[in-house]
Amino acid sequence: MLHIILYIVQVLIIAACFIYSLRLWFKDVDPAYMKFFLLYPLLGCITSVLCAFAIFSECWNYDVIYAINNVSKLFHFFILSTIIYRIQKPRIFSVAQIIVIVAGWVYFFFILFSEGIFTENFNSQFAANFPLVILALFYFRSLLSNVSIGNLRKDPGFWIVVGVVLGQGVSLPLFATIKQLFKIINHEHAQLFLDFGVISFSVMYLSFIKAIQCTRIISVG
Amino acid sequence: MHQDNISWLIVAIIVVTVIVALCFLLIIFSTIKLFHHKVEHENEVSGMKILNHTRMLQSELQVQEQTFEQIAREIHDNWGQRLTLAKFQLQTIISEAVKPSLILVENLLDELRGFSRSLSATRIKRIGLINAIEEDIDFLKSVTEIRFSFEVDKSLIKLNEQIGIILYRIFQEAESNILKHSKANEVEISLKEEAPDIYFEISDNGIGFNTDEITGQGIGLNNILRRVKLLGGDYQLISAPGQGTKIRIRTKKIIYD
Repeated sequence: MLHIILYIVQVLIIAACFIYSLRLWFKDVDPAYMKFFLLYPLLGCITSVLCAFAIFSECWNYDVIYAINNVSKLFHFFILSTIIYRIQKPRIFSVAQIIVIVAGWVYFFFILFSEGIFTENFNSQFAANFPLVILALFYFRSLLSNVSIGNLRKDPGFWIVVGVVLGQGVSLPLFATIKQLFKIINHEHAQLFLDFGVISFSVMYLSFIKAIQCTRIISVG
Repeated sequence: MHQDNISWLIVAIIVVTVIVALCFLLIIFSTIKLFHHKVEHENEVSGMKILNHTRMLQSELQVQEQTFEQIAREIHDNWGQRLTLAKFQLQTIISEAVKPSLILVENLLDELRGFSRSLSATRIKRIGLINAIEEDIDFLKSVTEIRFSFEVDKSLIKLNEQIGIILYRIFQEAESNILKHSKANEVEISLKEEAPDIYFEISDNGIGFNTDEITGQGIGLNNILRRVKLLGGDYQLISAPGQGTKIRIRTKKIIYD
């Protein structure tokens, strides 16, 4: 029951984030990278709708849901890694960051295809999140070399990275061990750990809502 | 796996997750704190730089004003006296032949007095910015074909002396540019108060110029810019070929040292 409530709350937060992001879709925004970031709530919304459709219509089996989730992780990693890389001014240790991104991709694809797309692939979640958290740490380091951002609390980039750290970083140990947990404890108890993942994911989206709120619309004329 | 071991594993995962969460929160908050500390430091440094720059400008302009004052005194006390003496001597000669020389000396004396007056900051301090500009306009009306209009808010009659001198010098630079380059036949000057700011605007209907094409801003415009910086205000130069020129200055009514 708790799991369902948390899942519904998460879907509602994703939907709220997407709806709130609509105000920026056909406008020029500042900072410009937020235009690209808007794909993320869209991705979250599409994934949620497809999964909800699959679960409630019962016309697709769980393999399809897993596949949708795995493919969405691919886009999730692509969008967030590009954004975190782009928002850094100056880009410190640029080569190291590119290595992290490339290594992340290689590891992600290796995990995804070795374990299969049509499976509940927790390791691929870990593979996608781990490089993002490393990039987020680079961002925090770069902040200290750049004071051109006047007010950090009004910077969308800051809220995106905070969202990634709180949403993805905190659940890293869970995704690293959840597969083993499912093997040794019963499914219901293991589900509680996954619920924590759902909460952290919701926190990430709340932070993204804040990022969208901090984005300015450039009025022309 | 044994039940005890499983419990320990679960506890270990929870503990690790909590530690990781705390670590990330610590990173976020300490970065925010360090960032704000750095911003404050940078602001302090740039504030000091601005203050130093302002002080340098202030002393530079003070020296300039002192030099102007000295030249004005020299013209008035020395050259002026000598020319007056020459005028008296010429007056004593009763001859038609010296009459043109007498007129020439009289004109030169008038011009020197005018020049001395325009250099002297004491005059601006004594009569105030508005009267000084009005006197200059009256003089320019008498010697040129240009039509002048001067709009002023009465609340600015008792304007800070320092601001008055700086705005007057800006006016002189603009006036000199208009006479030398603009080919204008109409000049509008306005001095308005929109608390806490004052707006000083000088516009002409002359030939104008392309503002992108002025290299190094020109000495006159640079002088204006330096003086505006000293006031801590901002300056806008609007011009285009064939469309006249407008100089718009916004500054605070009070100067803070």
